Amino acid sequence: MVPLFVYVSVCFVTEMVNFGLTESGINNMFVFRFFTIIEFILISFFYNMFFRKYLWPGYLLLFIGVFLVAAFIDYKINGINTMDNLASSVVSIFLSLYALVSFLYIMRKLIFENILSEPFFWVNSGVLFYFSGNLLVFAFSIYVYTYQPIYSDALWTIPQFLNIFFNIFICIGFWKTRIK
Amino acid sequence: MFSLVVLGTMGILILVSFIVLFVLLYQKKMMANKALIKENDNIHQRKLLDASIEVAEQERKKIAANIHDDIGMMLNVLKLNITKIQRNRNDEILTETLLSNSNLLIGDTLAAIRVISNDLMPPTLVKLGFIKGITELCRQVNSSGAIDIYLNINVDSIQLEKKNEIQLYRLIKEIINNIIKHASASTTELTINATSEFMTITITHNGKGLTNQMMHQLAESSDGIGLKSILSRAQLTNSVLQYILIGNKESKIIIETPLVIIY
Repeated sequence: MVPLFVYVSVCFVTEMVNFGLTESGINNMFVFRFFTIIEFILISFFYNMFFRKYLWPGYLLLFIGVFLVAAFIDYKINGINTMDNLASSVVSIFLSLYALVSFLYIMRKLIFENILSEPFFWVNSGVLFYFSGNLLVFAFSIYVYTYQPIYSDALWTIPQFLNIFFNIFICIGFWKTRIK
Repeated sequence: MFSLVVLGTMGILILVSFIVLFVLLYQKKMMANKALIKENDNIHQRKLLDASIEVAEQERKKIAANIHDDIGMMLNVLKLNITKIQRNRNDEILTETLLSNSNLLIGDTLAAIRVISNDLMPPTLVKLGFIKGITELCRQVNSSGAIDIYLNINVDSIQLEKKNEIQLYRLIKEIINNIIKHASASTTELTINATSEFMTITITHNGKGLTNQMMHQLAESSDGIGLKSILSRAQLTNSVLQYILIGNKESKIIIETPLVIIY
């Protein structure tokens, strides 16, 4: 749970920095670019703690490597002060994949005696919920921008709600860790 | 906008349904797996019970054979001697020879009874406890010349449950018998260590060894009665038994037994 704790701390600091920059009227998109990179690496390390018993450990470096290439291409095409759509989509795809593969392993190997008391289950559910939800929103956004651009701002409130749910799942994960 | 809300809600509902369905399926599969483990455990318990009954039957047969073949035969000869003495009271030389022969036979009968009694319940174990019992067992094996046993005891005394002492003693005896009969080992080392909660007995030998898997496979076979009795006794004493093969020239058998904790 250490990488997840660091992730939550990074989220908190990022939110504070974003708030400060927004209040000062400075473009804060570059913060999101760095945050996406740190977010993916930290959550990958969290999953590595689960997968290292079952999978070749090099997969982590492979996924991080592919993601960094995607993030670099995104930066080169769109610059630093724009939304990192490509990198965010890659993060959402990879983390949804991690979550689904984890569910598959949990089901096949019956790893946990009581699944509802396992912190990993709650965090994994949160990751699947948040990142696959984000992926859906991203898919809808293409349609909304093209055909109903007036609703584009409303669309981007959905990830905020998903984020609240993600944080609730993480809280349950931490709570279950404390009980154990 | 309406279609967007409907699609978004459906997407989220699908995700939530996936997680709920996953939990339900997982719990169902886990329960089925637990039932299967329990069933396998019951089958294993039944097999061990059958093995312990079979071992007890074999021991009874062995004792009956010993009594019939040794003691019975000697008492028969003694009876014949007495009959001959009764019939030939006047023949002093014959009477003297028969009496001397009978005296020797009584001595042999007593020795045979001692052997059977010792086999049933070793007096050293009963009177002086587990450590002395094992020391005596090793001395007996060494004096038989079947194998050289080096004994290392790193504890002063052991607090074992009385009923477990005899089971552990027989377990070790069966392991040593197996080493002598099947392993073709020349030397064996028996080490006893203990913490406040556990006693660890390590038997190392330089013969053909087994792994845990091989041991269980052999025990499952029809002629693995000795190994079944080892497993049965290990379970009776709540001991953890491990068969370890270290290369071709060294094997270990480790028995870890819980001790009686005195508060």
